[in-house]
Amino acid sequence: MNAINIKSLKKFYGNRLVLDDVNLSVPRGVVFALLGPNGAGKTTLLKSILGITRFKEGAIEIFEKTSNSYESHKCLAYFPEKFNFFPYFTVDGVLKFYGKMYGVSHQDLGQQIDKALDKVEIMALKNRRISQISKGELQRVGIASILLAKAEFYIFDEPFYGLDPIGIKIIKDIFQELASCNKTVFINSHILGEVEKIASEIAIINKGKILFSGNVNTFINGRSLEDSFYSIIKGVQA
Amino acid sequence: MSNVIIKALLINTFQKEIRNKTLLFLFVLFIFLILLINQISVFFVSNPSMEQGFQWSHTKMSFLYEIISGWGGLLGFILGVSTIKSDLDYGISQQIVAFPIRPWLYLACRLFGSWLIVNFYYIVTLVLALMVFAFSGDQLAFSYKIFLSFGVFSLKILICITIAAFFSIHFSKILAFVSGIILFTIMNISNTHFTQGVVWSELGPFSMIGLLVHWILPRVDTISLLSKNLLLDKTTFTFNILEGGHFLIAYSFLFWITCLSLKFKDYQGGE
Repeated sequence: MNAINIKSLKKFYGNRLVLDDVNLSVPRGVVFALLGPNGAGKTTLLKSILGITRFKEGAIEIFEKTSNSYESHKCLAYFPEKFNFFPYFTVDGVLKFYGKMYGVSHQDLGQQIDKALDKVEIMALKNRRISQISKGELQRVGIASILLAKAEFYIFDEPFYGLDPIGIKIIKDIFQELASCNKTVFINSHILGEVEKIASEIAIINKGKILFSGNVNTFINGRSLEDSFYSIIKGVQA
Repeated sequence: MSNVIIKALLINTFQKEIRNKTLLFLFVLFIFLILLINQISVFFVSNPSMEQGFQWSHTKMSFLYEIISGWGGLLGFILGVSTIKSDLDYGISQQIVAFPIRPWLYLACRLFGSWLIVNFYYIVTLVLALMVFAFSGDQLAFSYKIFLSFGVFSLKILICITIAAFFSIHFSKILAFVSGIILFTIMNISNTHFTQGVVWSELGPFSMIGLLVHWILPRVDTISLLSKNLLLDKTTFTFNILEGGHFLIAYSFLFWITCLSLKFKDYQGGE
């Protein structure tokens, strides 16, 4: 069973076609990366998968359930492009909220929060307010919140945004760990160098069309991901 | 699982809205207003010649009701505008709708949480006002009717919050606040006008709109009248089953269109 199946997806903003007949499948238990230049339709595709933006034609299924259904949302966890929360909440308060929303039991919550904070190395920030932490630290809080979910399908929108090299290393390890537990990780990112190291499957999107989808090694064929990406985008644009 | 999510959302609503600085400012302002009203009434009562003309002491409770009701409605609009809008502004809405939660439940938790906060402020203000008046020698004894009246009035607060939340999904905070008050005023006027009956031959285009509002949206003036009469111990008004049924259907409609607005909100792409 694929983690996700997208069939003939079309999405318009007014008269502008932003997703043009998108067909895509993501196998279960892999790290998958959606790549594309600015304005290619990556975030729109991602939000369509989440069911938080409407599309005119096509179908999206998550583990064979309609993407905007309650059932499909029970098995997914979402990390937004710029994680944010009300500034007067403490890091602990934010994680308590996320933990409860992900269904972590009251007895396990404290322990799970400590484990997540420890994993992203921000235990010292536990009682700090959101308004008192940096952009990169806030991203780590977001990653910690995702770790509280018992999901099968994890969606990360620009997960490397604002992170320092240590943070990037931590999150890459988390991706690998999730995939090794047969969880599916879906990444939307611009950082090709990092994606090349962790993703086994990729899709390239430009101007709302999928130009390639499949195994990363097949795509790069001995070259770097950056060169291959540049060629395919330039080839289409030329 | 659902109960845990409901509890988490309700607690989160309290935590985010209880610090609303506008509410705190209005609360302090209102305490001064109560003291001012009391001092003015003391002045009139101690000057019988003026009191005869103004009949202040006889209308004190009624005046208190009007002021506190206005304040309760205002708080409802302020919190109603903020409860969903702050989620949208901070980008938290799209994270919440990605959770396994149905949109109507998310909306209901936010509205109900806000309603509880406004009720809390309302009760505190009412009790404070009654205490101030009681200390100045007025015969305003506590009675169960105060709470009965409050229970009915709280329905009006719920309507204010829901209207404001509906507009906040579509407009900016200020525009949502103004639009909410305009709609509420139209509802109030229509309700007052058509409660006595409809003269079909006199209906113009604007009256037709008013009549539509009177039929499909909750009747705020009827609720106010019932609440006020309960407080002032007047028995001239009876709240019949039809009015109760109308409220349930009309409020459900208002909630449903607010829920649809939230459900079909398009969180557009970010590139």
